[in-house]
Amino acid sequence: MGAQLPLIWLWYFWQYFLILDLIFYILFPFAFFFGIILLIINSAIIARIFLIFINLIHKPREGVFLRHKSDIDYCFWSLRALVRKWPTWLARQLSLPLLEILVLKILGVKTSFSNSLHEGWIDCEFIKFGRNVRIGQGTLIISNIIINNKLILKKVNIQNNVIIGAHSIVLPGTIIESNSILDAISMTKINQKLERNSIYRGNPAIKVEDVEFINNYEQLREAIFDRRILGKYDKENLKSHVKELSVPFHFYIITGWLIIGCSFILPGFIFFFFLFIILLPNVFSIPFSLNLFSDLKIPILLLITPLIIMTLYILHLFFVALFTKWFYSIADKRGPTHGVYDRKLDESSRMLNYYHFSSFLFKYPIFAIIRSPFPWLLNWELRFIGSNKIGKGTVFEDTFFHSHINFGRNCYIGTFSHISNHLVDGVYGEENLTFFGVNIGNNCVFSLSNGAMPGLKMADIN
Amino acid sequence: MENEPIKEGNENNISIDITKIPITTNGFKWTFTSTFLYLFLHIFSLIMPTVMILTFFSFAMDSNIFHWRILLIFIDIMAWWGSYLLISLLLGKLILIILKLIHKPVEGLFRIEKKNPEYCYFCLRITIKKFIFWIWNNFCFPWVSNFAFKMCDVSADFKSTMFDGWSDVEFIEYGNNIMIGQGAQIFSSIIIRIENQDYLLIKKVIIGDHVVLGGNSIVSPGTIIGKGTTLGVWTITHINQILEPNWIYFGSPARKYQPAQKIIEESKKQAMRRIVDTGEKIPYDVNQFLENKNENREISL
Repeated sequence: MGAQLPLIWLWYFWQYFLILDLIFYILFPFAFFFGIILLIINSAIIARIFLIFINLIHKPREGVFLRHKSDIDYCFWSLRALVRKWPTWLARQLSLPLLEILVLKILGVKTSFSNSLHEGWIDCEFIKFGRNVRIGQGTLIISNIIINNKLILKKVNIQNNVIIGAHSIVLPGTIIESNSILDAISMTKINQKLERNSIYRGNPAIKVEDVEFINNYEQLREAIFDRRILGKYDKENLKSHVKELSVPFHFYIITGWLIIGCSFILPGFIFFFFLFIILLPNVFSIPFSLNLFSDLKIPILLLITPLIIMTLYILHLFFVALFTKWFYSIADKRGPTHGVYDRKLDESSRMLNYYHFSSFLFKYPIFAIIRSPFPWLLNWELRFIGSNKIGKGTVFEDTFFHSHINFGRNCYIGTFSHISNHLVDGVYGEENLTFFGVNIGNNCVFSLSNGAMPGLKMADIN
Repeated sequence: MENEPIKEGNENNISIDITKIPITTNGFKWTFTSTFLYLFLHIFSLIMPTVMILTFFSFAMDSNIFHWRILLIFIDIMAWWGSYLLISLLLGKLILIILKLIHKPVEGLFRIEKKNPEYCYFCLRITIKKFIFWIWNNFCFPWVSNFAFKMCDVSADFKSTMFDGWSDVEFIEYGNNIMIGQGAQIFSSIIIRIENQDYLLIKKVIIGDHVVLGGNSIVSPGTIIGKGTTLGVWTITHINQILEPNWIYFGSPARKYQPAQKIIEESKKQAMRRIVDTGEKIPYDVNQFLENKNENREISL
């Protein structure tokens, strides 16, 4: 729906250059970017209209709800999250924070253009920001959390001039008063109130110091830029003279190229066919006027175009998964299963080469799907490649993924949590590589920013 | 582990303990100018690929969709994508050189204000580098960004894995073959609040060969990490911390945990499995899967 306006704009733009000349090619990227910005703002507005209708049917409220289909609040919360997903994803992709804040404002978050929020991850409802708030990379500010089978929704309020460090987590119900600092890697409790002008640290966050404790610019500068510190350090401690591990890069590049390139053949064919045979003669080269909407052909084509582009994108992702599956099954058959291996530099191990190769193969399809607008396809893709077993109803937020990790039914893996299937330890040159799969039972919940090590086994929750 | 802060530089009676400074985030902020510059760069680097795409149909395929040439489209797509990458790098590098000539980047502690030239030029440099890295990180082989690091005056070799974490892009020296874990961060600039006024601290980070930074760990400005050292998960180093070679560091701020060599000896002993509920440890055979590899792929107790 949101794509209609930019398409009409492109049509309008195309009008002026029926003979495709130099000026057209130079101006086209401008028109293209303008179209994208139009698309983002337009889809945000449409999402907002949807939200208004949904809120009319059922008013969003704070509280503790059951994580089950029978709870009406839970259902409407999921629906609202779904509607918000597409515009926020689009705004995030272009990595233009001003646009992102504009989209957040359209979606109803109280924020200001002087904030910098784009590096972290924030929820889009029940959140209120003051002015000049800065949050670090990987910070999570959430107003909803799933604990066991309960969903908690509560308002978060962050006031002026607050700085939140990298990888911190702000839980629902937190109030951070103005001028405070939350240190890196700390976590607030639910309903915690952080006082003004203070520095908080730890898990849960405890007041350590007043902001005023750093008060002398000259002293601090002297302390940090003390030349004696560098003088003490031996440069030899930085360079090592061991033999390097050999990695067959040429082999990786060829397979990667084959997988990605071949996945473009069919979508590319359809794209060119659609653009040059159908769209150009029927829409773009017809003189632009709004009267033409009386002819049914043009509105239908305009409606179909975004659908076709989406389908092509999904087709591309499907082919990536298909080709990866073939290569992966070869690498997996010849590679190691589980165990502890020596990563020796002197002898080349065929097992290890296949292990490295399979984890290389695994990277792109996951990367492509998680960054696409359809992250829920991940479950299908992993089952399709055959690397993981994933039960029905399992939900993944923005996570890092590995092979040989099996999930039961109805699991929930929170944002930035990370379950690993391998571990490297030791001194370079005589390292150990521990490679073990993970089994996770039914109904398990991984909360935010959690980690799990190889060889974990989790029982079911009933 | 005890919570004793490590004191440094007490000779001049400096009362500030730099280990207690909160590590927050890098001081970069998007201004209107940087947004404009960012869009401008994007538009200019797109001109060449769009010309190639729009003329592909009429030139390469004789305006006939059922031409055999369509089967080679994957070569063309890589060419379009590649030209986009290279042009973005060229443009970015050009503007970076110009910015460097106008204002030389230096280490220091600067006031965050719109009028302060140090801060303004810092923001502009980071904007351009963000533009380059956005394009390079979205390429289908994420490790090509090592090349972008090299071009942006941050030494990095091709064997390092750097694309999983966040790394600042100036005043950093990487060694060979390092590993940056998922979500790990290397800051060479952070915000420090002095008397309710934000200051930007820029100091060089040096990382030796074969260093492993664990998942979600944070490296602060001024840190020097020796070769072969491992930083554990969730570890924070404090400003100006010096880590010795071949140790495993852990905690916040980072403290010595054990020598890296020790773990190799320990892993040769009997592996144990810990049951979380009871705390009981039972022996575990790590080689049980090696023999009947194809039959048993599940982990069982």
